[in-house]
Amino acid sequence: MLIEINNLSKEIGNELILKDINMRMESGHVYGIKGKNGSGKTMLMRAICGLIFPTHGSIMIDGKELGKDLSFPESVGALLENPGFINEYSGVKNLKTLAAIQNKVGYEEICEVLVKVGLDPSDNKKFKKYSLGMKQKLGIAGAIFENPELVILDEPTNALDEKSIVSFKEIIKELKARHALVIISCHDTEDLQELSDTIFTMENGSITAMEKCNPGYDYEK
Amino acid sequence: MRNEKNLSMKNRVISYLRQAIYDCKRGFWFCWKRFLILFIIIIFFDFYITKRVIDYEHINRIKLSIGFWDYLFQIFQGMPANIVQNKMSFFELPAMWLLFHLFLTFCMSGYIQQEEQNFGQQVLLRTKSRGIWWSGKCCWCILGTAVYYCITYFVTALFALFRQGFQPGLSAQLHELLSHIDVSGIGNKNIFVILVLMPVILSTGLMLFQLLISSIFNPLVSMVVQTVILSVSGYFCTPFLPGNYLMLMRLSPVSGENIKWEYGISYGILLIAACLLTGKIYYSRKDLCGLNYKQNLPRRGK
Repeated sequence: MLIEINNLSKEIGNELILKDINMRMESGHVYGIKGKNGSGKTMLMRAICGLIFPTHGSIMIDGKELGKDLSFPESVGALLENPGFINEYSGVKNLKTLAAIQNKVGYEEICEVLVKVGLDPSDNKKFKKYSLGMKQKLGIAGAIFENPELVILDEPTNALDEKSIVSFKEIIKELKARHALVIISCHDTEDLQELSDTIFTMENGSITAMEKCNPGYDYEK
Repeated sequence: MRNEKNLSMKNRVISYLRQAIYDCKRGFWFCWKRFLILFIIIIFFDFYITKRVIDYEHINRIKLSIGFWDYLFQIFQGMPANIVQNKMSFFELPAMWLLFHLFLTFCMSGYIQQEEQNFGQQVLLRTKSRGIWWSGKCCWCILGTAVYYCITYFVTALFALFRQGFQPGLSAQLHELLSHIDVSGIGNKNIFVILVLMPVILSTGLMLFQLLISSIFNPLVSMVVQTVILSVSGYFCTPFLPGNYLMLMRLSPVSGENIKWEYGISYGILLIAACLLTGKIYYSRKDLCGLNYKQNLPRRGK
C-alpha cells in the first residue's frame, strides 16, 4: 500500500484545521505523528480514513484518490479518539458485531487478538463496566483484529500500564512484520521514537518536521 | 463514487444486507424501551375508547358494537376540517392522535446521531460505502415504523377480541355517536387501505424525513419540525399537507374534502423516495468529525 498526501488542507467553518500537508507512506513501515493537543493529528487520521473530505489537495491510496475513486481505504483498521463500543455488549460481542460486517474473521481470531491485547475473551463484563485501560485495549483490538493493511492508532497508549505498553509494542512489531502500514500518534516521544521509522511533527495543522528513526526492534525479516 | 460503482452487484447486495441487519438489530436495541412505553400508551388509548363506549351505552341504554377497525379509527381519526373553518371555536389538536404520531417521531429519533459517533464510524469503515450505510439507517427506520404500527394493531386486536371478537367493517352508529361523523362511505374494501396501508406508508415517509432532518440538524429540531407539520396540517385542511391524510376524519369518504387515500399513499411513496435520495447525497458529502466538532459541514469544492 502506498499513501500519498498532496497539499492537503481542510477547513471547517472558518478554521483551517489542516494546512498544506504533504506525506508519503508505504507498507511495512511505522509512521509516528507527534504534536500537542489541537495540532491536527486526529483530523489528519480522519482524512486518511476517508471520514472527512479535503478542502484542497488530495489523498492517493495506491494511485486512487480518496473521495473520488475510493470512498474509504480498501483495508483499514482505526482507533480514533476515545474507543467507542456498544455499552451493553461485552468485548467479544462488540468485536463479533463488527466482524459480521465484512465476515473476514471468526470467533477464534477475535479471541486470539483479545488475548494479545491483554483482555480475557471469556469475560462477559459489559463495555460500560470496563476501566479506561480495558477500553483502550479493546479499541486497539478493534483496529487490528481483521488484519487490515492500514492501521491507524490515535494515542493508543493512553491509560495503558507499563506491561500493556510492552504488549502493545510487540503488536506493532507484528504488524510491521506482516507488512502493514501503521500510523500512530502519541504524546510520548520516547515510545514514538522506539516504534516508528519516521516521525512527523505537527503544529497548528501543518507538518513542521520529519525525522527518520532507528526503531528499537529489528523488524527486518 | 467510482469505487462504489465498481463493487460487483453481488457484493453490493451482500453489503446492503449486512448493513441492514446490523442497523435493524442496533435500532431495536436502541428503542426497545420506547416500544414498551408504546404498549402502555396504546393500552391507555384503548381503555379510554372502551370507557367512552361503556359510558355512552350506560347513558343511552343501548348496546354499541365496537370492533378492531373501530378502535383504530378512533385512534387515527384526528379532527374534522369544519372545526377550523368555524372561527368561533378554539383550535385544539386531538391529543390521542398527536401523541401517537409524535411518540413515533420520538421512538425513531437519536439513533443516527449515535451511529455517527465512534462505533458507527467503525461500521462505516468496514462497509466502505456511505450510501449503503445510509440505506441501513433507512431500513431500520422503515422497519421500526412498521413495528410501531404492528404493536398498535396487536394491542388493539387484543382489546377488540376481549370486547366482542373480530368483526368486519366499521360501526356507523358508534362513530356517529362518539365523533358525529358518517363512516358509511368507507367501504369494507377500503378499510385495510385507510387504516393500515396508507398510515404506515405515509408515516414511514414522515419518519424518513425526520431522520434526514435530524441528520442535518439534530433530533430536537426534527421533533419540532414534525410537530409543526402535524399542527399546521391540523389547522389547514389541504391535500398538500401530509398530516391531513393521517386524520381519517378528513378523508374524502367521510368529510367530502379532497383528501383521498390514493393521494396519501402517493405522497408517502414520493416522500420515501425523496428522503432516500437526499440522504444519500447528503451523506456522500458529510464530514464525520466525531465528538469534538459541533458542526459537521458538507464538503466544499476544491
